[in-house]
Amino acid sequence: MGRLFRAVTLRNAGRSIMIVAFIDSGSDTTIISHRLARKLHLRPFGKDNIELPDGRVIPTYVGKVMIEVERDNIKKMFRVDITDLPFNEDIDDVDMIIGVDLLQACNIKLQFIEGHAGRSGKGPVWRAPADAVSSR
Amino acid sequence: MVMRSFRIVKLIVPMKSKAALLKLKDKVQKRYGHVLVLRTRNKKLYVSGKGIGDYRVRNWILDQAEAG
Repeated sequence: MGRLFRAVTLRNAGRSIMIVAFIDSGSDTTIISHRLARKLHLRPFGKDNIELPDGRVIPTYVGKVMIEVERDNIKKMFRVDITDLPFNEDIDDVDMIIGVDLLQACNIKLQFIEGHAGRSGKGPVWRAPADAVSSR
Repeated sequence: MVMRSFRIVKLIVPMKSKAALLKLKDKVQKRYGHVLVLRTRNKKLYVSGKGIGDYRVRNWILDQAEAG
């Protein structure tokens, strides 16, 4: 089964960083690394406790950042969790995980289509609505 | 390998004063009391329960806290 990534631009305090984000339809929340948060000068407000797949619970900070997906015409001010733990053993070189919260907020649907992605011939496809422009 | 599938279990909201904290707790209780468990300690609101996994609930609480 193919894995889904998306080029995303994050903006905060006059700074802008373009990255490739990994899409995780099983994650409640969208997560970025501390490294990215520092580069964007994000000011955290509040904390979350997040349960990992192995049952561990880790604390994360919550920050607000402008998320843009140019390809789908998406622009949204959104709250993200900030933690390094999911990225520590990273081999995919991603600094951001897009969770179901952002997918729901932008009305993006993931569809599994045969013959689209992955060697098995089946893979996920990101479907953004035609009028996906949104902001808070 | 990237670890996946994260579930929010608790939200911790810091407030500037105890009065603001109690006001926020009342607001949250009124709107989402049926799906959330609320605790206060050290000028922080601890929010848990099945409703906290919904990003709209979390965002609303943090918006109210920032405004107050």
